[in-house]
Amino acid sequence: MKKFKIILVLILVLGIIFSFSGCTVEVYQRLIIKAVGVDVDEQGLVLTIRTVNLEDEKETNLTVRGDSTYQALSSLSLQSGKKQMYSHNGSIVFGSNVSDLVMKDTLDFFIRYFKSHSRIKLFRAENTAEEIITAKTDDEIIPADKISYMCTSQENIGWVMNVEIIDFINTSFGEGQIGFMPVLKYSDDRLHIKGNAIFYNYQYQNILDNDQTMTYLAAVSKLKESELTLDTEQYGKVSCQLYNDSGKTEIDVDKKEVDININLNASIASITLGKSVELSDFKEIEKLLIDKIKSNLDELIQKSYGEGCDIFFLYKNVYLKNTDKWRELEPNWNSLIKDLKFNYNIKCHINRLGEENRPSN
Amino acid sequence: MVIYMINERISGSQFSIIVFLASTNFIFSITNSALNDNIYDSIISTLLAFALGMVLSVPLLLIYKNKIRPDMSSLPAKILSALYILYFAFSVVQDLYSFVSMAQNTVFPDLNTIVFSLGVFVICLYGAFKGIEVLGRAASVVLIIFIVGCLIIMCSSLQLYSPINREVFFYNGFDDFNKNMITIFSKSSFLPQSLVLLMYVNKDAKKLSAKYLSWTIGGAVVCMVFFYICVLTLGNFLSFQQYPVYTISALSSINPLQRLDIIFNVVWVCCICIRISASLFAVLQCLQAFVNVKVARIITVGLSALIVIVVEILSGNTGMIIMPTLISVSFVSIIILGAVIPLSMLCINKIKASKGGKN
Repeated sequence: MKKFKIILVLILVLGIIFSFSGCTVEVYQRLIIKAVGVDVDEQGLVLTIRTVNLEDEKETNLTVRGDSTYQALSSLSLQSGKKQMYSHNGSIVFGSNVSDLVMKDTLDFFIRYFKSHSRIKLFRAENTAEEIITAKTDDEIIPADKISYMCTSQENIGWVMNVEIIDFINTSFGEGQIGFMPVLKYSDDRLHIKGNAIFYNYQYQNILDNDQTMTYLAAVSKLKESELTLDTEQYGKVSCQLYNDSGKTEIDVDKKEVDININLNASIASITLGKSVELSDFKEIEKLLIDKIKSNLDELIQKSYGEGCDIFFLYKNVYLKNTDKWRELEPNWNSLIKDLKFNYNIKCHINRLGEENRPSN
Repeated sequence: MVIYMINERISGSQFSIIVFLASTNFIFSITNSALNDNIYDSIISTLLAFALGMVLSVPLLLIYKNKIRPDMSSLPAKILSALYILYFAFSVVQDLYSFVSMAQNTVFPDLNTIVFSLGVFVICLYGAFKGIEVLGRAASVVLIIFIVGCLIIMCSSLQLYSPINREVFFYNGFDDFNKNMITIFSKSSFLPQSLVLLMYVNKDAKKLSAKYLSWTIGGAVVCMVFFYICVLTLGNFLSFQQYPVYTISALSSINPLQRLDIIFNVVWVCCICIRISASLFAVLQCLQAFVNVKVARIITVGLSALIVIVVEILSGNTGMIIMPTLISVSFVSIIILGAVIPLSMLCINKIKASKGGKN
């Protein structure tokens, strides 16, 4: 009986081992995908794929076509003879001519596919995605990891939004249907962030520049650290480091008014050399900073709410605080937000002057 | 010569831990569609489902307290045993189906499901045959894995928190709330199995009711916290995800681990093994109303093989269509086998006792 048990266990263990080994594809048989660029031309969908060779870690680009993202990706096997592996795909770049339907198709594949990377970064290309994926610096392909890390500078500078697939889907599928994506530009042999695109229902609406992005992040309390330079008559160029203390937007639907509250801490990074600055002048610099933030907010609101894009997710404010009112307003929300009046309550406090407050002449 | 001291009883704490793990393991494999895409209202549904479970467990605890033991050789006991065996088999089919379905869809899609089911059953049968004490000890170890694993997943997933994911309760009315309460109760309840397991709890177990209730409350809290975290971290992304708790673990990271689904897998497999083992142990005990231990074991193995085949047939679309309709069957069965029958046993015993007293 004991022998029988041992044989039974052995058969089971071997069965499981063979079953597992039969399922797996060896790494050398895999085509490891690091980044995907999505474009549309006259003939249809074009994907530019960045792949990596495991042996020498060399990255190469492949181009495929298809009626859908999955079809195009599947045809990769015809070029490589390998099976695609999506778990290392860190970023998706959409070309500027990509329609909302193509974007939905691509995103749906990466959400649905069980082995895709869970934290894919999303970008929009200023021109074509192919230009970004095939971008070279000093005749060498820019590594795919560097492309995906480009949006992580949100924490360092606040001029770019770090948008992952989950963030984009979350905001796009909310009542506001708003999404953001950093815009990548290739020029002068370098890749850089040009600004941040606003999408409404997956359709591109507008682009926020660095200052507007920074102001937006401060208003939604996501700004960690940033920079703002003032060009003043009295002090010349004043560069400040900004630290977000808090930011809050509140809506009074009855009055159709929105209060934007931003509290910022600042420290002086540099003032044009030779300009005389007294301690009492810092109140004036604070005022100039506040005026600059207000002017950024004006432009930001014009670009978003002027086009019916609820970038501050004010609908959530109404939904959470006055649910019954939200039921009433929901059908006409996007037209209603165009008539909102915005009040700014900006506080800026310079709490560090640097080593010298008055440079010697 | 090695002398094995086999204790055939478990302590009140061990019993409560088995029930806790068996009740909470549904959280790992429950689908978003099973909860009608309404995880937020399911927080309250969970609270009420566990509260209902606590109320319905009163007759069980009274049976234990009054030391009522059915005469297994009597005809009514045999009929009831057959009924319970059927329910336990049905319950294991549901558990294994959820497990295999999740493995097939999300976790290990390349895996041969029948080998996977067989592997799980070998472990569970081994646990069931080793006896209740082994199950109790295994549950204590699994509890540590469960607590550590859940804490890691919960804490690390908070990095995904976004204030715009906040929700209000019952925005779309109470329909989903009611349906989800029935679903959660059916998937979490372990009352019929508890009736059998309670027969093996130490007779002098102190404060069993208090321990049982506190672990049940703990189970409800764990499930509610998981649901709450799922909503706050995943938001609208939840609508695209079948298995919310798996998704938060796959999205969470702690350096150097980029995703924590490996921790999820360990906790998930351990918990399901405890639940299925306890159910198979209950089958084994009920079978002993008809046959001796050896034959009961052979029948249990046969029944397990049958369950694996049924689950294999159900796996894929068939089960997805059938399983939701079985929730109501499961709900009614639990009420009858987990509360009505124990209550009847209690009443019959009371009547007998009062008659005996008069005589």
